Amino acid sequence: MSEDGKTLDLLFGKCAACGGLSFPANAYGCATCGEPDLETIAVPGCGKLLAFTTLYAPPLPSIELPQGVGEIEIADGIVEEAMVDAHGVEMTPGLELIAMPKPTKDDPEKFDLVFVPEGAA
Amino acid sequence: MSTLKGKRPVYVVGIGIDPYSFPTERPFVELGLSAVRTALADCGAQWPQVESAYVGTSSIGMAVGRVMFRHLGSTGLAVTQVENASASGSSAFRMACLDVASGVSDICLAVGVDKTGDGKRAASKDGLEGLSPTRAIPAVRFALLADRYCKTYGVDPVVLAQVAVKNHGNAAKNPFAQFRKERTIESVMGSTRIVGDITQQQCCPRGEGAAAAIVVSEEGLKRLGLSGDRAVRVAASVSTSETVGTPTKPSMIEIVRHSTEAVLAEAGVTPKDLDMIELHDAFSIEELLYTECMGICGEGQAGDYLMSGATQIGGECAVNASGGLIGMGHPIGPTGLGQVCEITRQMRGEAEGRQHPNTKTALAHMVGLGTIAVGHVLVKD
Repeated sequence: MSEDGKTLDLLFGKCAACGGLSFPANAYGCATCGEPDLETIAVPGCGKLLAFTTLYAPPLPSIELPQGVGEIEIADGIVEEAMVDAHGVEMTPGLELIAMPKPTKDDPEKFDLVFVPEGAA
Repeated sequence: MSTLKGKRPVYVVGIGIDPYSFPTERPFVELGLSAVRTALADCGAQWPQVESAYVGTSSIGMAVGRVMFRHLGSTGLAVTQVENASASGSSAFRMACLDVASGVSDICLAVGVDKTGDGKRAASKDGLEGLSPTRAIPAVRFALLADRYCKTYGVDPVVLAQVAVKNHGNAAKNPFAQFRKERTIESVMGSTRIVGDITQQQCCPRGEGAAAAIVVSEEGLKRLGLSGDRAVRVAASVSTSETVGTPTKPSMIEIVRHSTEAVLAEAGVTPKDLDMIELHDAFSIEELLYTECMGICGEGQAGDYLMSGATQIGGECAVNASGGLIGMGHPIGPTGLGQVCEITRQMRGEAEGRQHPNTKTALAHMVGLGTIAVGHVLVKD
């Protein structure tokens, strides 16, 4: 959880050799140069939407369908797939998104990470 | 004449397929032996003449080869199991080709055999957490690529469905295919929506089956007393793995682009020389993305190219004349070898009911979980 108590930070591994970022932070080495020494850094969880789709099937035990899914650039050059809740906003490429916690379907004490449009955070 | 890796020429002389199907109670041994015995009979080889074997499989278990081969006679041949996800069969074929090209063997078998497994992947056991539970669903990744492609080039999603209409149509004419039914555009578009614009009939089925190919050197041709009339030469073999993608160049597309460029260069041919391609269309969007990045048509033009009929049997470059993964099926271990069987059959003029005319140069290309790519160029001299 970030300092605002609402949004989420993302943890990256920063390479001691080339300075490149790897995700997640506990990667076993730098994705670019292979250096094993990675420093964990927390970055506010935000990203730029590259593509969006909606999953209708197959059922997943932990999430309710349909569920939006995005391809999101979460740091310079790092693209990850993540769940997206559109909140009525049109999902156009380039849209800025924020990482938020979302209670899981079966256990409200547990959270999934979901990205939402900046204004809906 | 180009030769594989600049070494000895390699020829496919025997092919065999046990038709792909939905899961049955048949033991894998029965499926595999059916394909191997057909391949042996196809080239008149006797089992003791086979010096080495590579077995592509993903879900059966350890040491599949000997469990099958003991029923052919215990010759003591070298047996190696190969697992490379969807590219397992292609990788087994590559190993067999390299065995022959390098002089280790003169007569070598590649066989793919699989039953439907649990589909568990190493990527879900690496101790690292991704952001989304959906990352284990391949269809999601391809639906995201479809969204990007359709928005970038203004492509109507109905074009995705046309890929499935073509490939189901080809499979309907293929006696080895899992699906044997032509589909209309209404049927494809109206089938259950899976993710984004991808419907059920635009996805490959899960299933089982077996496919085999016997590859030989020129010495092997002599030993088998073959004239070479029905032999197909393997002009090039390339295997690559994923590199780090960028937001504008997704690794899943770049791996296909680079492996195809490399295998065509090794064969000394250009995309325009290809009469036929068998490629990994686990989901309809892949065929559009790959025909473009393989250089068969220009950027953003795959839809128009498809709709022009150029990729149909009888068109400029038949793509997935077998029915592809969507129509013929995708039992994993056999799939890449099934492509080699289809191309060989087409080059011999033996693809009854779905013959693509004058097939001289063709590409067989598979992708394993978006991380491995294996390509072969086959040539009928």
